[in-house]
Amino acid sequence: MKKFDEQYKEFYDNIKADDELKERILITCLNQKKKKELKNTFWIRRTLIAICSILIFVIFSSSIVFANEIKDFVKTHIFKMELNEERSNEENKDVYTFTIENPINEKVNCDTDINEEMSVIRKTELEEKLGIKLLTSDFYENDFYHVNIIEKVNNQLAYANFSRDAITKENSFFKEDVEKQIFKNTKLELNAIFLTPYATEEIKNNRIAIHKYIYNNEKFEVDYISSLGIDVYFAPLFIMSNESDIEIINIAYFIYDNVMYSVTGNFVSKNTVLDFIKTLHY
Amino acid sequence: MKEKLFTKIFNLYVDDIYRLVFSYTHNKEDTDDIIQKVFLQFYNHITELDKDETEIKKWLIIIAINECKDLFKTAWKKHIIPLQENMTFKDNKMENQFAINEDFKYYLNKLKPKYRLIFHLYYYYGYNTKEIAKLLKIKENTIRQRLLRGRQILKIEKEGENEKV
Repeated sequence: MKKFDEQYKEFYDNIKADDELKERILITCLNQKKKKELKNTFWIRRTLIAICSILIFVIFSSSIVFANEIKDFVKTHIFKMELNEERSNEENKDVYTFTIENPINEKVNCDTDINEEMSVIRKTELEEKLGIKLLTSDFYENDFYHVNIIEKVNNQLAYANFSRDAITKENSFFKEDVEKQIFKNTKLELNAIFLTPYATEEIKNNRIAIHKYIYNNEKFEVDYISSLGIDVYFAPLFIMSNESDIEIINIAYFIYDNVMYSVTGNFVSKNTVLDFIKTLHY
Repeated sequence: MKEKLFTKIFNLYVDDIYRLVFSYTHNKEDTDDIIQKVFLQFYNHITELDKDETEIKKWLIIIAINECKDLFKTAWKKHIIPLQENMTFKDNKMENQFAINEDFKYYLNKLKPKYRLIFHLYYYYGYNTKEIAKLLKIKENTIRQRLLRGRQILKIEKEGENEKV
C-alpha cells in the first residue's frame, strides 16, 4: 500500500502543461514585446501629432490676433475723414480742406493742395485710368504720419498713403522741404488700402493693377513670405524730386488681413516688410 | 536577454506552476487560462524581479495563487458547478487505495480548494507549515488545522467508500 504523500506526488507528476499550451504561452508572451514596441511608436506618433497640432493652432491663432491688431492699429489711427471744402488756389491748383478724426487727436483740420510732382502720373490721368474720383491731400499729424493721397468714394475713406517719419515740427513749416525730406530721409513709407469696410469692389479687383499703372512699371518681382503666408510684389519706384532729378527707390506691395500695404524705401526687401508688420504690430 | 531568461524560467517551472494551479482549480481550461496570465505577468515584470531562481519560483507561486483566488471570486464561478465534480468516475475496478488517478482526483475533489492548495504546497513542494504560512500570509496554526481537517475529510471519504464496497 502506498503512502498518501507518494500517491499524491505520483498523481501530480502525471499532470503537465501540454505542448500546445506551452507554445501558446511562449508565443503570446514574446509577442508582448512587439505589441509594446508598437504601442510605444503609436504613442510617440500620437504625441508628435498632438504637438504639431498645438503648434499649428498657436501659430494660426497668433496670426489672427496679429492681423487683427494691425487692422485695429490702422483703424484707430485713421478713423474718419470728412471733406469740408474744395477750392482752387492762386496758382489754379485744387485745394481741399479736410477734417480728420482719430481717437488720439479727436478732430484735426488740415489744408492741402495737389502735389503733382510727387508721382509720375498726374492726378487727373490717374482718375481717368481708374475711373474713380481721387482726392489728394497732405496731412501732418503730430509730425508722425504723412498722408499724401486720399481717395474718397461716397464720402468714405478708401485709400490712404501715409508715411512714418521723423519729421520735426521746425521743418514741417516748409512744405517743400518736408516733402523732400520725406522721400530722402524716410526709411519706409506705408500705403494702406482699406479693403474693408471702405473700399469699393473696383479697388479690390484692381489693387495690384492700379499700382502697376501708377508707377508705370510692368516688372514686378513676386516673393513669398512663408511666416506671413503672403506674396510680396517688388518694383522700382521713380520719384521726381524738387530739383527735377529722378530718384529711384523700391516699393513692395502686399495684402495682409484684407488690408493692402505698400512699403517704399531705398532698400525694401522681405525683411523690410516683416519689420514693417512688426512696427505696426507694436 | 529578457527573452532568454523568460524561456529558461518558463521551461523550468511551467509544469510545477501548472500542477499547483490544477490542484486549486481541478479544471484544465481554468488552469490553462491562469497559467497564461501568470506567465504574462512574469514576462511583464521580469526586469523588476530578483534573478534568484528560487525567489522567482516563490513569486510565480504567489501570483498563481492570487490568480486562482481571483478566479473563484468571480460571480460566474460562484454560481456554476463544474461538470466533472458532479460526475462519478468510480467503477467496480476501484480498489481500496487511491490506485487510479481519476479516483485520486475524485477524492481530492472532496476537499475545498483552500485545503487542496495547502496539501499541494505541503505534499508536492515539500514546504513546511512555517514556509506555507509565510507564503500565504496565514497563521501557521491555521495551516496545521487545514492540513489536519483535510486529512480527516479524506479519511472519512475513504472509509465511506470502503463501507460501500
